[in-house]
Amino acid sequence: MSWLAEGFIGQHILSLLIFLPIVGAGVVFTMSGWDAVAVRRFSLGTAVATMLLSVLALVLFLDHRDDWQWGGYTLVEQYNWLGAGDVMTESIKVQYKLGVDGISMPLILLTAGLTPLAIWGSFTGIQTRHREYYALMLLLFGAMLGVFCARDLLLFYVFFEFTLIPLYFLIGIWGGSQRQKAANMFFIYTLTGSMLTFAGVLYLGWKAATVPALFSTTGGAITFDLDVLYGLAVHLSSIEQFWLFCAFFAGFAIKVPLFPTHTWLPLAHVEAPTAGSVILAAVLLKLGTYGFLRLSLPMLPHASFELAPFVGMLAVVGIIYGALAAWVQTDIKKLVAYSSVSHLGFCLLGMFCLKTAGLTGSLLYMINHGLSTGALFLVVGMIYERYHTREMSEIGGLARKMPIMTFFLIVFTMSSIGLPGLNGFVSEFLVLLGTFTSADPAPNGAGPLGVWYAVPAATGILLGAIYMLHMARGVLFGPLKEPGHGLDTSAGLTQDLTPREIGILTPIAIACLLIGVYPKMLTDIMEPSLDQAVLAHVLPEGNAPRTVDQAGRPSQTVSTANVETPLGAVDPDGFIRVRSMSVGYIAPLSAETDSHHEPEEGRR
Amino acid sequence: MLGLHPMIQLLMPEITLVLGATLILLTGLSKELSRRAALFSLATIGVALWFAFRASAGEIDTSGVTALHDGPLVWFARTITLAVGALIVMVNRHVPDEGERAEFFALLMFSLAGVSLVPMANSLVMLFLALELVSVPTYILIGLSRRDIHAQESAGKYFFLGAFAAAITLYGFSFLYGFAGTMTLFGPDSIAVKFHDLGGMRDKLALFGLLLSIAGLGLKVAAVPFHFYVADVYQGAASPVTGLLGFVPKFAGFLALINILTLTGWTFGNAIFWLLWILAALTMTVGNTLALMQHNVKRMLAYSSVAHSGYMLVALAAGPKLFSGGREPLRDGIAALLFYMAAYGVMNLGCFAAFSFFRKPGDDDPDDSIETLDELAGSAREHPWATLGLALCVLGLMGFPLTGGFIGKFYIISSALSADGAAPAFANVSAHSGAMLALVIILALNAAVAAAYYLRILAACYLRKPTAGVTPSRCHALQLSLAICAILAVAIFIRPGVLYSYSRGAAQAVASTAIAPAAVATGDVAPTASPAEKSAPVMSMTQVGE
Repeated sequence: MSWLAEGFIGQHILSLLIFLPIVGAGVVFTMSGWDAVAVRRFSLGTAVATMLLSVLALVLFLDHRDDWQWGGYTLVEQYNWLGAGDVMTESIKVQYKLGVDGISMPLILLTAGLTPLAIWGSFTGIQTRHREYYALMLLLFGAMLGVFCARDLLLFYVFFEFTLIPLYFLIGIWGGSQRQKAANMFFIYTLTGSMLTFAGVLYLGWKAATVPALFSTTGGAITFDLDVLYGLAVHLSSIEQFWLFCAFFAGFAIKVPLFPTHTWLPLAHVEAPTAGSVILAAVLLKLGTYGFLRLSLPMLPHASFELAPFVGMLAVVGIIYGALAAWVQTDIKKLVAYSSVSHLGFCLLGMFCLKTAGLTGSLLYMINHGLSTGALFLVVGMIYERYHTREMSEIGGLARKMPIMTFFLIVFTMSSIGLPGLNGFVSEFLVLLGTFTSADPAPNGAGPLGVWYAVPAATGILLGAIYMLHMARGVLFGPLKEPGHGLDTSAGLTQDLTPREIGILTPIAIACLLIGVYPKMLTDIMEPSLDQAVLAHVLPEGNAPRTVDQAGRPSQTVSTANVETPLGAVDPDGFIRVRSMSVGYIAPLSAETDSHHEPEEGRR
Repeated sequence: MLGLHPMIQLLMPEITLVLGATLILLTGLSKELSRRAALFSLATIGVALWFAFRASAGEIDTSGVTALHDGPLVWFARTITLAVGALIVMVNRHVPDEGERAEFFALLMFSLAGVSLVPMANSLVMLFLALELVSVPTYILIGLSRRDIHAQESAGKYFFLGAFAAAITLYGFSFLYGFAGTMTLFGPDSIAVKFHDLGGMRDKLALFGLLLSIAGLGLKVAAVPFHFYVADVYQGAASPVTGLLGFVPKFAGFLALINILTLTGWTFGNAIFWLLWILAALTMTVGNTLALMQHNVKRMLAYSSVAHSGYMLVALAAGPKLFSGGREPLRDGIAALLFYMAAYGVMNLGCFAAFSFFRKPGDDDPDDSIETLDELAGSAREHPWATLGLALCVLGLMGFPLTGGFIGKFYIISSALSADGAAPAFANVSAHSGAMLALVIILALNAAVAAAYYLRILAACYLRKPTAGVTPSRCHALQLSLAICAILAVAIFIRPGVLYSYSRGAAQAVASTAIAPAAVATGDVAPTASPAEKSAPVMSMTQVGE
């Protein structure tokens, strides 16, 4: 593979991945002469090409296993962005820096896999302003990939923010009757949080420039390089970490959305066009969880550990509240939307239990939720295109008329519930396992959560089964009910799914099954990075006695750095082996350089 | 250059502007020539720019000139004024009646000359005269811009309040004179020296003078509580003139504020620091809240311009980076302010250019640009490119990534976060770092509030169905200027270093002008300017005086 890795494509694979759809968007937007068919074909072609590039990226990624297996990342591209060749060269270093590790790679695959399907799925649903629609979809595609590839905090933030604009228009132009309200609410909620995050981001960058111990790496320049910022944690006092965690929390919790800030989500989901809902649920919500995983946990370990019970509590409340709210919905789309609130509660619970199993489950949950909920939105959209209703009281017994659709809906319902053998089960199991054993000091330190978070969360699974089966029974079985205006076949649809629709759903169903049967293919990629790049930063922080000097600054925190993990923690299920290997933990650079701490640097 | 007196050489760009303006006034006698006044103005600005580049090459021997400053701040102000001024001329091309073009553009030239004279002024009198040279033509420009009664009303309102502000400023200046006994701002035996020697921050007379000057200038930059005129004046004037109002007086006001605050050596003390803090917090919050309640786009952007003044006041409160101890680059509020001002001027002008591009349907009167969100509805369908330009400028004002506004906010927030409590400017301010942090949080929340109303503009353009439709303007100059503004808004994001290094140079000049505050507790810290800064081609004001 070396010829590939050393070629132009191999050297710039991530940039190509990000900018191919963006360039495609520009082309679609400017080609005013194209008719709808040409626009659709070109957009789908661009999206599929991007997906193929992501597969290529995966191949290269696996080829460079040594780069990321010990907590690093690979496929790096690095250029100066702010401040090259002028006064600022030495004083500010904002980079265009890309790289992937075992945390971002699965999410890139999810994004690159689902977006083409969402675009394909819009062929009949979107009947107006084609060029703008597909241009925005492609723009969103590129921006989402950019978030997952970024290795520079400011670059991350730029992409993170930029995803708002295309989705705002997607919801606002092609959405349902309340689209403008939904679009505004979505935009303002998320922007409010992320403005505070922005202040936190800048504070971190400035802090990196002023810590003397980091001078050898930063040269006293303001930098947003994630590698440097990870090393910054030991120089932040508890109070600083607390406020920074709050700043990041404001942005990410609204994005996830965590329980009290979830109010924008159901409306946005219901009003968005099908593809918008798919992307929103499958990828955009993951930007929040990814933000927690990538930024909050490793950069603010102390605050993360201390505040984990708080986040865990909100997650548990969200799980149960989301499930109960989903139960009472009569609109199918709204039901799926509330189920997202519940599912993402699991995601955060697994993350903040700070166990390898929980983190792996959490990351896997992101993928699985993306697949199953994305697919559910697609199926609901397909029903809606035929009957123009999503009210459960108006439709029923569709199994007789639409057997193929019924098959897929059942598969995705089961996947969402967590039926063993399908993907949802694996991640739910891992999350609960992690949460149950969180307080256990073995193998490498006690986490902050425990049984009392796991027990109520487990009832969420039960509730999940109730509302999803309730929905499936109502829509698929029982006496046949169709709305008075009957079936709409104006867009070339048939009673049951068309080959195009089957083609959209089949890959997702296969992915669900594959992950359910053999999750190891993903967890093998995820675990090394989660262990090394996240957990190794947080757990010792929570377990080591924290010595603090007069300035309120930790002096030596990471003393028990090399933690031995006993082998063979095989879970009772048999086919999922929670990966456990000797964790050769490499202490952050800064821990060594800061052994002589400077009392001078405190603020006067 | 030509062997002229150095003072004349220094003033060449401004002399060009004023001479050009006079000639343009003369062309008003001929109907044929008067129609081409905009072109003559552009030519004048071109020549002035050429002189400006000559001047900033540092070829002029300024020894012996004490009445004027020269240096990067002046060069920055002049170049930005002329560059944005050229855009303003293009946007305003079709505004005045054919018979009044000569007068209109001549007055515009006078106003631009005033802006670039503000940072040059080295005495209270010159500073005041420069400020008046900026303001007086704008009163008339508003009145000339439309036949509408509202334009006359807004001109009258602006004139009375402007005169009121001028009186307050002048009153403040008189106290400063009373305190120092001299009109000279910097250099030997100047107000700055007196401030330093006599401990001006503890002197009630000087403090009162500063307070009044800041209040008077607050009206120029439309800071709360001096913002009441903004909405009416902006609404009354024709859209292109409103674009001008968002830049010209504001830029002049901030330049004057920088000059006045430099007198203190940027050693604020509690009174001035908290005054700026409260002004900034109020201006941001009130401006955004009022903007949120508007349906008329011009009123909305009027209040948003109040809010933007608030953001810039945050940078002003952060102050310049006085000591080059370590390399903490973003600890420079003045550089952030100047950067933001330039970016804001361009993006704001772009918005108003777009508004005047979209004219009310079926109306031949060129002044009738759209005013309400309903009239703007659905413009994206019929005019995708012009709407894209508007959208980029609006996103820029929102501070969204991919536009210069994002970078501007980035610099302002960084400067506020890193404004160090240990710096002499804040040595005697209690609870400083917490206060700046609070200001940053207020700014962040305000930016989110602002997004709500900017989104309404975007929503009207893209999400709503056209109601009556709009008639696009056929003026090519206007279309071109809209395109330039939109491209600049994005270009500043992609290569911010070009503008930032320029504004940073200007800010360093400000810092090196400030006199070391030996009187404060941190007397043992490094001297005012580092050797690096001194050796840089900075014609600082103190050096001019020596």
